[in-house]
Amino acid sequence: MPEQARIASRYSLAAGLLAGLVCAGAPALAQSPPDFSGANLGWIAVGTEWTAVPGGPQPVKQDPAHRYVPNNTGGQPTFRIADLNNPNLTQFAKDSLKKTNEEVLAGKPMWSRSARCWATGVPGFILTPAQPLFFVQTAQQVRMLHQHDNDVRRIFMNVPHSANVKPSWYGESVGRYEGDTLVIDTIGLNDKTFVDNFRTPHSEKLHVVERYRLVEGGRFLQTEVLIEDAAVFIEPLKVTKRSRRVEQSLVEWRCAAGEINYFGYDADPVPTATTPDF
Amino acid sequence: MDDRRINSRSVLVAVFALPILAGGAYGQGAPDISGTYWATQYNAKIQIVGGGDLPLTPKGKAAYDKNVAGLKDGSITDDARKYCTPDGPVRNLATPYPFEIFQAPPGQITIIHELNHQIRVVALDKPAPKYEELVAFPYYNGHAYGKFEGDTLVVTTLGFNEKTFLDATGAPHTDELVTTERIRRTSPTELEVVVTVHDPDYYTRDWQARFVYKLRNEVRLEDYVCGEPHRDITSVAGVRRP
Repeated sequence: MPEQARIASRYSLAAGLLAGLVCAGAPALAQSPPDFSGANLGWIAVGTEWTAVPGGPQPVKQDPAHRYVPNNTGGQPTFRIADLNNPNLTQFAKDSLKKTNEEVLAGKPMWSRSARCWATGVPGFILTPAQPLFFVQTAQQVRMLHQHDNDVRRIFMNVPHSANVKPSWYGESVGRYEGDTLVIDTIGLNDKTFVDNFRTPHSEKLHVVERYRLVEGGRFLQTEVLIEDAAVFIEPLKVTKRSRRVEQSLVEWRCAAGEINYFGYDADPVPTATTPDF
Repeated sequence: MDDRRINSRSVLVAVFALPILAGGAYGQGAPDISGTYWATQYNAKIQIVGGGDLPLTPKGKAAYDKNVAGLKDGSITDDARKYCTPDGPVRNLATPYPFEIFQAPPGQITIIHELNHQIRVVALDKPAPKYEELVAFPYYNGHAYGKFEGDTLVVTTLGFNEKTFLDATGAPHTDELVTTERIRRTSPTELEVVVTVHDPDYYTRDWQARFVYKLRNEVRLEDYVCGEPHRDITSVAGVRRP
């Protein structure tokens, strides 16, 4: 394109954008985009399981035949055993969970994947307990920074998904603001992570839509999560998670500075490079 | 009256909405150093400004010799490459992977590296505490405090642990190290970081190193999981993959 034409097209693009802003300005600004960020503002997940949306399919829960005792509740903690009678699970999901159940019952310490320093993926990212999640927000980008292992999710605002997404731990997330809600749409997830802390599996076709908004005067961050994966759920699963507002700053936090294997258990290995990257 | 209230509310909302809508520079009048950056040159051994060798004290030389020998015979592990722990001071500036700088949230600069889950939070316009106050909470990448001086972000970092090297050859530091980084755009597409190293136990004088990065906003940072294949970094001169 000749230089003059390029300049002309750039100016007409700028003029168009400006006109769009002026026209759309009033309604767009009347509802400010929600801001979950702050130099001294984080969000800690309340509980480590999904809450069902009334009337919808239930997420995986504890098998009633086995009592689950979480940490710090007074009793000897146990590992989770998934209830395989959940009617929304496909046979693939049941088979995978049955194998996990059997490993737990055989004595394998089934610590969460995050406890073994692996990326938690989507939607598991917001189920990591005890440590806060932080937001960095600009017009084009949102970063979700989890203090746990200083893990990062990247959300690209107001753009479509790429035509070809290579599967990765956190996939490709695109976002938009809808009134007081940040909507994040994620695809391109690898199948190495789990949908929940029962280790419900998923395929690379997993599609997750998260809707984040402030509730109760900003004391909590409420997330509605739509989880679609026909390989795992017969009907798409809709669940919620709440995170509690805390006034603190993100600090450096390392999960593994070497192999961790307390008591010599046969636990999942922590991520390790057998040869240096460079 | 109602109409006026609505108008004033709209203006107020618009003002609060601006930081997110504006995106780039926060901190009224602060220069914009935000963006995605990627080095074009990697040096395993640190290149000090003015050339020459590291000005090591006898104690520093002994520590360096021990590190070099240990890394060679395997008695010392390079945790940053084996367990992907943070690269730590100065070595993190030599990264051959891209990184991002956000001038957000307000009151903070957030530096997010692709390599090794490193997030550096720089508290803006807050005085850096004394070493004694931070010694109980040492971090790989230290505690960072920054302020703008003209076009330059000046970051003072201290409160380091002693688990890292200043470069990939094993240049040592103590937990009393203080670094001062001067970060600025030298052109619309280039970022410069000049770091001053102050660690009198191991170095006879303060010394500096300079790092230059290209603005690469078209690059999206990727997940980094230890031991997995990662992005192609052969475009960065000096990188050797085993």
